[in-house]
Amino acid sequence: MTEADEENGPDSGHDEIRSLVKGAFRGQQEDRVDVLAGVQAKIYDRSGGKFFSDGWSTSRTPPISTYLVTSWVMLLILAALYCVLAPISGEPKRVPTYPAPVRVIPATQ
Amino acid sequence: MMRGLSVTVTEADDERRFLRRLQARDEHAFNELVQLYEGRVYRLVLRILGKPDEAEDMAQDVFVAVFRSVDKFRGDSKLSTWIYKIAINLCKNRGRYWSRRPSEAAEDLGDVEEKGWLEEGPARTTAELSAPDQHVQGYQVEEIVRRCIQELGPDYRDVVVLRDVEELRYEEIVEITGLPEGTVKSRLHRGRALLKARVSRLLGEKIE
Repeated sequence: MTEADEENGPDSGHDEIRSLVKGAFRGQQEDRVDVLAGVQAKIYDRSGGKFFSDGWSTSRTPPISTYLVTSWVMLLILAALYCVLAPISGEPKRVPTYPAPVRVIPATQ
Repeated sequence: MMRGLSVTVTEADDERRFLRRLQARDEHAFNELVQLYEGRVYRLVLRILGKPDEAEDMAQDVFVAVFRSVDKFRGDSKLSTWIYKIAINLCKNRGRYWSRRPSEAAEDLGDVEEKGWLEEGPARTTAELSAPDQHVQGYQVEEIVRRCIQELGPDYRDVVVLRDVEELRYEEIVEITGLPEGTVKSRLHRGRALLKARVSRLLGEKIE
């Protein structure tokens, strides 16, 4: 670096090349990439399955709708089963129950 | 002034809390970290390596390294600076690895000269042009500049990318590279001069 560069800072005197460098990458500013799934898979492999082993935390957003739908379907199935089985089962059969006979043992004197 | 200070303190507090979650291996916190930085990390490594596929793989490796060593991070610098540092180091390692293997280098810059795709005229990037044919020429200039940057040695390339593309402050570059400020400035100066000479030669015109 020359003395002039030292005084003005290293950015001075390079305006055109800096502008070219900046312009060369301007198009990449909007580049999008999704590396989350790949990162999670690599960590899962390298940790021997210790991390990111469940489907909940490995997804980008927790699948709440899937869990809600599953819960509702299970409830509907249970309700349908109840509706089908309840009439079939009918009323419980009444079993007459009598009290056991009581034999009075006279007291010995 | 006070408001700015309180915002900074809050941000620092937030970052500390976030860091504690990361160090506790909270997978949700890590997902947030990846979503927050994946674009920036990917673009940085793409600018250094120049190949999108390799850059994506490298960006994944950066986050794996972050996950592995986050408990060693003491919060002495900003989290983003530390992540950039990991990215730069991994890119250097990848560069050394490739330099030991038989060259798989893509198109040589010499081909660009032989093809003679560049017409006479001042060097301008697409952002500065309007007509379609000027756009084509602009893309060619951008391609040449990108190739020339990748052909700089890693010592020069990293500081040029960090300063002129990422627009980081010198203090941040010092932290990321681990070099003294004077060395950063001299490498930057030398890197730009080399770049200027190469681009000028390929464009056939002098760049100031």
